[in-house]
Amino acid sequence: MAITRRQFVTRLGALATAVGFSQVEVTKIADAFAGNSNAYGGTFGKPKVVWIHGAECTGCSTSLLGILEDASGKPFRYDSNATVAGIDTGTALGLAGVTNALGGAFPTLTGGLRADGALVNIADVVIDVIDLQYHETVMGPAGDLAAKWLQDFRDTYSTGSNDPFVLVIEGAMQDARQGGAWGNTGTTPWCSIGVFDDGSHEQDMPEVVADLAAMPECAAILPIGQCACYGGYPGCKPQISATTAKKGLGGFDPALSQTGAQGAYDFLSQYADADPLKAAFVADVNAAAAKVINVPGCPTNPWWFVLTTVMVMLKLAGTDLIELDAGRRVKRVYPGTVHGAFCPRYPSYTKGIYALKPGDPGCLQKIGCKGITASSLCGKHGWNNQQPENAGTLSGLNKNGVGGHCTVAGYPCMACTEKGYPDAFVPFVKR
Amino acid sequence: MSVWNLNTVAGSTDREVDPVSRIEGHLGVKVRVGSDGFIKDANAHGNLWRGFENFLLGRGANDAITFVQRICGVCPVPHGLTSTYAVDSVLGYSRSHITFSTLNEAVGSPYGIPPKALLIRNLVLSAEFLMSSITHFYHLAAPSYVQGPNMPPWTPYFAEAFYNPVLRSSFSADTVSATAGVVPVANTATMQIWDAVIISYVRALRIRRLTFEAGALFAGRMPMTSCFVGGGVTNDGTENLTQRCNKYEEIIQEVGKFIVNEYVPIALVLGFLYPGFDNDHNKTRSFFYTPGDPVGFGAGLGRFLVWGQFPELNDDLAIKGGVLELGAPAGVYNFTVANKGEVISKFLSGALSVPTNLTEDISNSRYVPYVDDAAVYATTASRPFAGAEATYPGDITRTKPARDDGYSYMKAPRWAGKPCEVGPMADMFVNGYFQDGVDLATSIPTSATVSGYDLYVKAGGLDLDIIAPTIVNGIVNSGKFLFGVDPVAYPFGADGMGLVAAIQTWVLGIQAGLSTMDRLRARALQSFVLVQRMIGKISKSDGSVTPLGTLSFGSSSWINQLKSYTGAGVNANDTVGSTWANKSIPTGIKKGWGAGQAPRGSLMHQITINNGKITAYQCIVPTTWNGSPKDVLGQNGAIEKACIGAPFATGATYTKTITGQGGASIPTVGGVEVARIAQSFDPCIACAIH
Repeated sequence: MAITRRQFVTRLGALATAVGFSQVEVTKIADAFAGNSNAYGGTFGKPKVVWIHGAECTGCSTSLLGILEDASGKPFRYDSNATVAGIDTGTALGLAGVTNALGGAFPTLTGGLRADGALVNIADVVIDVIDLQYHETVMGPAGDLAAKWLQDFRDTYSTGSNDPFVLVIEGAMQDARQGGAWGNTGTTPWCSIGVFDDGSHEQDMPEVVADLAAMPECAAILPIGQCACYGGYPGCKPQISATTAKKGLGGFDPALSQTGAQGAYDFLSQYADADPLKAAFVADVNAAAAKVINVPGCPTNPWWFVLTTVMVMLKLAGTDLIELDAGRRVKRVYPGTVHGAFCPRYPSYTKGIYALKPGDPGCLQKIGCKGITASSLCGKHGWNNQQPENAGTLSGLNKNGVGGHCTVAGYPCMACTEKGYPDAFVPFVKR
Repeated sequence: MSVWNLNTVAGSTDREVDPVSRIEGHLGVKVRVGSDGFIKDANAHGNLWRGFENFLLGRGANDAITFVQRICGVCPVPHGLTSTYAVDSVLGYSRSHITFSTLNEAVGSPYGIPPKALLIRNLVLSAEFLMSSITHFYHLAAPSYVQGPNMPPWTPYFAEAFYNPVLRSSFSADTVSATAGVVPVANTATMQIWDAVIISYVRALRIRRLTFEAGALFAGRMPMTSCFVGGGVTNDGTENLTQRCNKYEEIIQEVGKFIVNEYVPIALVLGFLYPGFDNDHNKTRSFFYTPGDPVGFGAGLGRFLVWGQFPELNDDLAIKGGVLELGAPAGVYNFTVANKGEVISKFLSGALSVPTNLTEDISNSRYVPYVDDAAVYATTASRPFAGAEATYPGDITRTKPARDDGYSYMKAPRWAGKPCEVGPMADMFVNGYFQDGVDLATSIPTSATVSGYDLYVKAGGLDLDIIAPTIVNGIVNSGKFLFGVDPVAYPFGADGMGLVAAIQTWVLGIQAGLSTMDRLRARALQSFVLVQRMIGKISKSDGSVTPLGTLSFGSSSWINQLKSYTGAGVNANDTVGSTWANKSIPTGIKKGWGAGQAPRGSLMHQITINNGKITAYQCIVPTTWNGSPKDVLGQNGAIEKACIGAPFATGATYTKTITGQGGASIPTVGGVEVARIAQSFDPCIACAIH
């Protein structure tokens, strides 16, 4: 079900409209793709993607698997007028009768892409939109087949003029040379990828990242999730004193993270090597930090990742509309705070009704909500394809909304999109 | 560098399979292959350490619930809920599952978890179970048996010889699919089984997404949930949940139909196509079995441990706990725990109890004991928590990383000194749904609330009306293609229906045993049983109806119980309708633990707090059991043991051009057997090491 370039451009344009691009900008996008630009190499204009896992939990990949979007940018929601089947097949959108991805008429359920490109799910993304070269959780190869692919890619891919690729990093960089809070604990990597059949070539994950990032063919680096962006959980520190630490755990320094975990920008920009012969390589790695565009979250909402990816693809095609904030996030993807008219509990806030313990109705500020701090689209475009019902109105304590947001379930916002999470935002729940 | 621990075998060769892909996290398996081509010993190694137990120190007890979900983004819900059980326990709540604590309030106390919260917890976790099992089968395990679409990320393939002929992409009825790198696009009358499986793969992406959408109705969002709290859930206790319950039911009914129509049938048929990976009882009925060939690859330990899960409102456990070593007499290696009373009388105290029998060994792990505990470790390397704190295993957290020691960041938990397998196969054996050498049709019976294996039976045969037409079409056509040309050698008839009849016989006669396939079937059949507790007993109308819509659901289920609590309740302690029981944080040092089942097996969290702040935290995780390295006695962990005896096909050298990479090629040897066996455990290395 490969799509045509025209369909691809249409879909990109629709997605771009959804993040607030003007019509003029959307036209630029179309122009960028209209010619026979081979900016991405591969087939159907699909950019190559190499996805590397570090100190991570695979939560961001798992989250991304749950994507289902209307490419026109309308968030879906479940209510009495939209059945589960209706949403997936387009009938809820008034699109019944269109041939579906399996060649039949709706409402046959397929999980596939509509011929006119209105629906986007993960199968579409992997099959039609990107050329996913390496991703350990989904790829077919294992063992040597995978390890040698990656080794070959590191060693031989870069010619200075090969097709560009996008490097996605999931998880923090735990440099084997760093002892972290424990000091000298050995030389074996904290995180390794692949050992060859002959026992050689244990690949230290941060070194893989450095090699790939430094390639001129690496067109962009997208750390997905808190850990890859800023160090996240592997980078956090226990909330105890040095005295307690040494007494209780054989002596570690609680001012440092356990392994010295870093986000991609810090890792690349601070990369160093005492070997003078590696000076040129180190300079390339340091310079590669400029390619980093963060997509934080814990996990990252698939919608944020897709929007950021679209903007990167536009940039590769010559239309750079990316404006980064201080956390190197795309501003349009992380625009306003969770607190505000789009929070389903905002009407309570305006009436001064506060939850005082878990399970209470009302605004969650008094039991730990960080929504005032967090930049996120959560309230506008909910999780798991479900939208908070409030939708920016102040029409009273509307409880008909069915989900898609931490505060909907009564859990205070944790500010998982912000640098410094989690340590800067604990305790999460005050009780 | 790693310090390996492999037995000496004359004439052997060492091989590495790393990364074992399509799992969560960084796993490799080093195997020692004998001159006969079979694996003689194995070292499973986890390759990432982050240090969760240490950076939890000093935090509020309740924050642990959110932190530990980041141990694993594939199974955050079980971590979150097990941690919630532990926090319930340490704060002094009761009626949660396995909350071992001296503080644990008696059932019926004012500090019991409200029933509404208990049901919401079950419904969120069970949605995660279905997600995990479906994702594991289709998206993680299947590509080791079925060639994916001919494009990255599914290529390069393993050598052709490793795949059953009908599961190669070249076998597609759609020549475009076979050659141009696209997935099949139509359910045509001519489709082959490969097309049917790939279409199911894509459908399963949708189904797994739906499970998240159902869970998020109560959890706020998935995969990382936002509703668990010690004492209940955070959901607004005054909210009318009718709409959420109805939507949950609608979504999970779709999922349930998929499980019945597609997931279970394909999981059952796979053993027919790969008899070597199935158990010994089933081999002779597969046409792909050649007499004399070895079978039962991946059998493993044959010793299972289950904490139990899903507390019912009457304090029974929907998944019973217990330990079972096949053939062992009643005792510490053979007992079950069916309800809250037995949890207390067996797991909590006495000869069968957890404090008496659970140990965690680090002799081949990349840790050393923490210095202040040197005296404790000196007593025995396998019982680091012995001594004054023996009743609270929470203190085994006291290790520190030593990266050049051992060969794995995983530790080695043991039950009464022996390694155990955990996971859905363990659940099925301990619960009696699997019995070695017994037909599934006998061991999975229909009860008042759950339909058993006989749902698939009609008039003594397999009911084709209950199986998705894509699969039936595929089997018929592939049968014609493969065997129709030689009706003498393979008496299936030129119409292919003979193969269908053969597969019908196969499916009806499947027996449980120890093998790679049994693990895959266990997940499918556990999903089949579980989904019925979630939304009701599944029954079919009659043989005259067509699939996908013929199934109906009964009314005895968790979702229906929750519906009875949907009236706006007062938000008071354990009152019908509330979601949280108020209880102040205890002062001083308190210890507690929670345990339950995750989709990957038995999970335990242990916590110690001082004035509400964490002073020790310890997780013993399913893959820590399954992926454990050898212990001080040299006993292999479950994955290691399962690899032993399987072949390592060194002869299958294979060269594949990497798509779009300038013609470079990768000469590879085998490893697919090890990948299949390891993947059948659904290992999660981020969990196992944390």
